[in-house]
Amino acid sequence: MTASLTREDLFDAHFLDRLRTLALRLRKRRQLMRRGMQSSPATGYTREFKDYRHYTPKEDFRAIDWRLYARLDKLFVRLYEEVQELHIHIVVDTSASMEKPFIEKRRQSLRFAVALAYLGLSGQHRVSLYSMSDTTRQELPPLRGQGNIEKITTAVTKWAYGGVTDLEKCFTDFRPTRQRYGSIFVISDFFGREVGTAVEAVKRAAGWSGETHFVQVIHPWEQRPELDGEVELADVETGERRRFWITKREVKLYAEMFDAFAENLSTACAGRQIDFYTCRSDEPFEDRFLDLLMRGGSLASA
Amino acid sequence: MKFLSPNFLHWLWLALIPIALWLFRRKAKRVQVSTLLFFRTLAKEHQESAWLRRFKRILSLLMTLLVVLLAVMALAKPFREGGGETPKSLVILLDRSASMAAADGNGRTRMEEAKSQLKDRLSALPENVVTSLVVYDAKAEVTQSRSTNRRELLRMIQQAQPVPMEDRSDEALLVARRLAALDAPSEIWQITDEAAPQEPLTTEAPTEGVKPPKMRLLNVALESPVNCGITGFQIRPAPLARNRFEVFVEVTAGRANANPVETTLEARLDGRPVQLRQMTLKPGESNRLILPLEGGKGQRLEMEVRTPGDCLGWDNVAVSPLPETKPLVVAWFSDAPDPFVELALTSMLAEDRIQVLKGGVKDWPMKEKADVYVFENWVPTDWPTDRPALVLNPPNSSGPVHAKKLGSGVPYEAVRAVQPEHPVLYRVASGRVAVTQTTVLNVSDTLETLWMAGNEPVLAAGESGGQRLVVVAFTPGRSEQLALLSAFPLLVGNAIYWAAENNDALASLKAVRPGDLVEMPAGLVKWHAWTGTRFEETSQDAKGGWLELSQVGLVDGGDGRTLASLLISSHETDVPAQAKAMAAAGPEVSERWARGGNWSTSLLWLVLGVLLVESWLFHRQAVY
Repeated sequence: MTASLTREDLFDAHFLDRLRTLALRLRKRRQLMRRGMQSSPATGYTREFKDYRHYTPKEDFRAIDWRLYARLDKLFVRLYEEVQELHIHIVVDTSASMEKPFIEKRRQSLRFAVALAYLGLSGQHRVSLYSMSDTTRQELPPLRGQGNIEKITTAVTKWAYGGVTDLEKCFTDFRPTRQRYGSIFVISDFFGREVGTAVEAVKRAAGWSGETHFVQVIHPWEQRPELDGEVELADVETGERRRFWITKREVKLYAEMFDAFAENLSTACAGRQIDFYTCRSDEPFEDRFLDLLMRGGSLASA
Repeated sequence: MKFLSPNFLHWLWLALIPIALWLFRRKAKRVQVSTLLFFRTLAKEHQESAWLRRFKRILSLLMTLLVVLLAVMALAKPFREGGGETPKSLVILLDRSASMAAADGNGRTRMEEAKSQLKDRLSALPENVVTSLVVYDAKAEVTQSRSTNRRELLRMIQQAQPVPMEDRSDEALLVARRLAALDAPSEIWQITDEAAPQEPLTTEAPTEGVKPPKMRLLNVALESPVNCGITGFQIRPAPLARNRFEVFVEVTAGRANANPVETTLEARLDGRPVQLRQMTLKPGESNRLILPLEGGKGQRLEMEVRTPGDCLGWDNVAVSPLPETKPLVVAWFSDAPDPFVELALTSMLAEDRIQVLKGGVKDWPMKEKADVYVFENWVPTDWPTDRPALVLNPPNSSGPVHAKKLGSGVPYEAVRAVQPEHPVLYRVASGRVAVTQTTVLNVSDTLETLWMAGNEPVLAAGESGGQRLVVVAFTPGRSEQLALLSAFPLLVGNAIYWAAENNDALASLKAVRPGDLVEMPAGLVKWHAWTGTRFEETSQDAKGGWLELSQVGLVDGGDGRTLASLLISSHETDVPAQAKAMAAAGPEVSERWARGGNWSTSLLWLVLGVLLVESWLFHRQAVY
């Protein structure tokens, strides 16, 4: 099992080209701090006509629509849409469990990250990329412009995976400022130190300024392990080894516990308006990515 | 510690298998997982530390090796040596005579006790000891000869059953010693209820350098037997009576009986009780009875002795058909017949008990043989050696008769009875008899004088050449009052009956014994057999026209001949008791080398226990 990924693994030019016609958006329109490409409830000075409004004194008379005055004999001013800058925060789990023993999880998660980053960059949003293991690190400064996709792709292929996932600390350390309000995508398997750690971490994520999307990437083996007999299991993160006698009964119990874990996490996210989305590493990426954007309400036509 | 089957110890190499499996065991597959989060709560018991896991693995190996070791040892049958020299061969002498059917209060026969003791002892017998089995009653039978097949030996012992026969261990001992001498050093185990077995018929000179076999006696006699049985039985027609019989019965109590016993003798004719006698018999005492019976020819007579607590049933019954009475054929040859002799002989014809054939000298020899010959005033030159004879007034010597005729005769006023108790003189009044001696007798060694007249013997009786002979040295016609007295006809009658006493016509009952070989018509013969407790109707195949009697009872050959097979044996009726000294010293006198503990069963239980412990320790949580 190799730990290296090529650029082609992550950057499917054909697929990304299809993404050009799409754009990210917020589920709720909100006044943002800086101008950008995200349409906002505010009026501004773009060329996109938005509405009319009665003229009030001390307003700029240049905005009066004289044609309309000629027809109605009333003064109206033309209002134009204001587009503001949207921040896209992409947090990718780089703990050891995302690479070992199934590198497919790493590829799938990075594909999500690159595709989201591309969508953000092509939509002229500011894209921030973070890695997360024992803590959260900003790997690249906020980037804007489609030309930065190369930077992102190069950066993620060089990431070193390792360490132990500490969800609580990571979610505590990651705190985007109000100036950088936007969409937050957390791509991880959400395996913490204990079964309830992920649910606790969700509470902290609820305080983030932005619309949060959790993308859980798992391997099918993790859902239904194919084990039988006496095995020595080694935790790739902690190195802990334990000997088990696995039978069909144990496999069934394991599957039930795993499903319960995912269900609890999904319920906790739903309670805090966090979109939770599970993707298996063996599923076709394109379909699952579009599915993520649509069901999470993050997709808009360009 | 030694092993009865040391050849099984080779199987210890099986222990190499678990060792090899342990050395080259499959390591547990190592699997990397993203997280142990969900596995941790599955099977807590497997979360063991490395040292505990290693310890349990070694413990499991040791227990497996222990199981293999114990199982192999169980097969090898270890035993604790009791000391003593182990013989090379063993000859088992098993008594199967009638007394071995004696049962204790629980109905357990001596044969069953013997089998049980033998089985116990043989289980501790080393496998390499050559064994032989000699089963004996009146004769010895080698049922297993020099074999190490222990299973076959046990089967043969199990098949041995007591038979209603006397035992004669001398012949069996001889056979056993010869078998033992073939594989010296050897031992002979004699299993019997006899306290002191007989010595062999002939003592053979021991071979040089060969150790004589050790004799060990396993006495299985009852501790306090109670037995009473019929030890004598005969039937004869009553004299001078039609359809009347006299039955002689001897009832004997065993000498080992602790107390006098009350016993009842019942006579049945065709199952109908006709006589009942009660008697009290001290230990070893016999009571002889003559019972008069009336019955017809062919009726079945059963005599049964009933005693409370009786341990042996075979000797309790004597059964026989009432005999057919045939007339006694007397051939009378006379040169000059005396009328008083003729009168005496004719007087007996009235009861149709004697058939008298009268003839002269010229009629000798006869074509058809008579039962008794009467020679009067004449003796044949060629003396008949196959029949008894009554010789009256022999004129000369012939055969066993040594006589010389007197010319005129010598009168004697009285005769002196030398042996008044002799059957020939039964009820003959010797005191009033006056005779005239006409012949001088030379009484040989085989004859004895019954009457003396003066110094001359005038009446002699005895046996010669296996046949009875009565010689009278006077004639009734010339004797004074003898012809008028009843003494002479009685004398003639007694002489004829006494002389013919062993004749078939008089000896009514011809009893045979179990074990005898009798001639019978080929095919199935019917038995009215006495099992010891009741009569049963069975059948037996007389192959080739010969039948070996194996039961007590009546055997009907189908040709009108019925034989009575009876155990009339005072030896078997005298059921011995366990000698107190022997009972007390039982374990000490028995062989010690085969009395050590046999641990096979314990080892097998231990194997099972170890397997259970191993299962509990290592597999109790396994789910398959």
